[in-house]
Amino acid sequence: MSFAGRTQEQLVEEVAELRERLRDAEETLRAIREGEADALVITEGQQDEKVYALKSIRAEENLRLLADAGAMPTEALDLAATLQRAARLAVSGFADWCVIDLAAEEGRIERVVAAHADPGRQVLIEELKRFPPRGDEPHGPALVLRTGRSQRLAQWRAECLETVGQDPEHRRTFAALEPRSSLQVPLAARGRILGVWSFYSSSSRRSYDESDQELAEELGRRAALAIDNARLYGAAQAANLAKDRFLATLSHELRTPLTPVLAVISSLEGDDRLEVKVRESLAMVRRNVELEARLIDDLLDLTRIARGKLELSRRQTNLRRLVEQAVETCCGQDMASGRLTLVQDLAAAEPTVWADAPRLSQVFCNLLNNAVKFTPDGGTITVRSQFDAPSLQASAGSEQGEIVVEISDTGVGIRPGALSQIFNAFEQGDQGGNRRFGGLGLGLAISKAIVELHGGRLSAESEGIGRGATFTVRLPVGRRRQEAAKVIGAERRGAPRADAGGPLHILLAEDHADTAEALAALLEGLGHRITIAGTVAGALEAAAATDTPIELVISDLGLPDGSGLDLMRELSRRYRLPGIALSGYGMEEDIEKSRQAGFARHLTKPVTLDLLKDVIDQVRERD
Amino acid sequence: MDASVEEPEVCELRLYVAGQTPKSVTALANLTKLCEDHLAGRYHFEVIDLLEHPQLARGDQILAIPTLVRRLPAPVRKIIGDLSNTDRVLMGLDLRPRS
Repeated sequence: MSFAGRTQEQLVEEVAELRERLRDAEETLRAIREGEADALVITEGQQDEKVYALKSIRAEENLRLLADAGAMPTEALDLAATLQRAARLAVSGFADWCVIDLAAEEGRIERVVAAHADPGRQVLIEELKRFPPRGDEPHGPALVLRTGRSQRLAQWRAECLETVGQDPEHRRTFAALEPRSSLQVPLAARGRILGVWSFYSSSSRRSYDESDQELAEELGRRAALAIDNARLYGAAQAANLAKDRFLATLSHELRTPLTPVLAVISSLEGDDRLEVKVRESLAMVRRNVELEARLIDDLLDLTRIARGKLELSRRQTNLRRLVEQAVETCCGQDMASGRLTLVQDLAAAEPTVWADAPRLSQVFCNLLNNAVKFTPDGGTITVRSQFDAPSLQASAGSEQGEIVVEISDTGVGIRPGALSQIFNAFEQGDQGGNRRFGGLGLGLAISKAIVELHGGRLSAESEGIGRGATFTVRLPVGRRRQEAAKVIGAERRGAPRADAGGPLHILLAEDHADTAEALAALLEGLGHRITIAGTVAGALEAAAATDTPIELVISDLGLPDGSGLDLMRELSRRYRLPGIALSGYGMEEDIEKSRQAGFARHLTKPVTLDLLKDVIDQVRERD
Repeated sequence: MDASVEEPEVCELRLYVAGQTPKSVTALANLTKLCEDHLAGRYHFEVIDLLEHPQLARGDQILAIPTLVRRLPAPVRKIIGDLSNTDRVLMGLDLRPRS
């Protein structure tokens, strides 16, 4: 007996391999979270590859720390700009010229800025950059760097000039700048000496005294703090980028094998030659694979939220129906088995909100799943909704009032001190020792961000450990009239064609043979005709055949002889074909790239049949 | 008695690190001790520094360091982290019957 082109043994083997990969991935996340391992990021260049070991995948914490540290104007976070500004400040009166040296790796010193008040002499002073101080020199910047003490020379004499300079050329350049008096102060911040700032007078004939030295030292402290912040910010940003990359790689690793497994399971579940018991087991396998896919999606969502890139696609949404469906999906089993009791009281009179329905479902499912997970046998989950009429003081934004949905449970509760942290990523209320409950602890952080994007609020209350918890979602009742009208119009136009949607001839470009076959079988099950191509060249050839023209392209992005993006550009130029991208990568850059190449939609693997069916209908309507 | 003890097989291990990070040093020390205590005479391990051979990370799909890979006996098993939890490592290497 064969299932979607596989023997039973192959299937068992695939599931075992999948389980092993998932175990590895979860183990990776655990080890990183508990500080036993560093995330590995490998960047691929043309020739060389670079390896970074990331100490923490929570780099944004550094950023938050910086933001808390004080009013730091964002433009000052660029190191080069910070240095230039400091130097300009110095030569606008206090000095005729100045030089900034920074300590670099392995005892080297870098001369990063040399500035002159007279623009005509800037070329000359730039020469000084060729002679950075050596770490062991007994005077000048190297000495200040070693001792942390300022050096002041009230009056330069001819014999002083003899002692400076590493060679005759350096000495000549220095003499041409005509130093009269000088001050060299340390750039010290957070207990470290980062560099040395040297001020010189020449044409102004100014002679630096002790009070000048105090001022210069204060300038040095301020500049050093700005330099240190800029460096930390740069490091944090680099770490953040690397973290996003790591998460993208990890999710790709995890998603790719899920696609054929989901496809095979879906088709087996509908195979009535199989015993009911076997099909029930398959449903269990599918639910768990889908759960794993959701965890991966959570990781991706989190990186989008961290970068302010989570976007909503809103329309008029019946909130009551949405909550009811979420309750059915998330609590149905535990209610039916009698493990938990459900009290449902959805009294809100005005149930319509302006919302992204799938995103909002995600919020309610998160909250309900948590309630189910954290409530012991025999407990009760209560879901209530009510309409809060606008108060007289209401601001313009909430003039139509709010819908309040409360989800309460009689579960383990939350320690009062932990309430403020539960909305942070990677946190679960009970962090003492073993984590009793599975999951990555991302759900509440994501839920809160989604609710806030809708202009609402998500809050939590609990009377303490063992006394249950209540999560409250408040959403403004709204209809953005103009946009609402547009959506209704679009639905009316689209509707008749969706009903009449007949079979299509679909070109499936996918080089992973298992995935291609499984997908083709599913699409054929929907009545479509499928042509499979494993390469860009094969796909172009198939599209050129004229007997039955291709009407839609579904393409993987990584094909052996090129990219699905190139394929789509070519197909939309030649035949104006609509396309759907299938990819293991779901970062916003990836989605944007495929949109630019002409794909109407970008789906991230694994893809369920229902989703694919909906998207095909949408794309065909749009066409 | 565990079946694997009756027929001792040579354990082939690879420890992936990236330079001399504190976690890598800890992992190496833990691994050395663990092999002597539990696998004396029937193990072989090599340390791969990914700073020198980044391309090797792809082969064994290394996502974090340090990572220990048991290449033999099959199937390939991975243990991620500094190997400080001896029980978890032994269980990961199948050297202790699961409870």
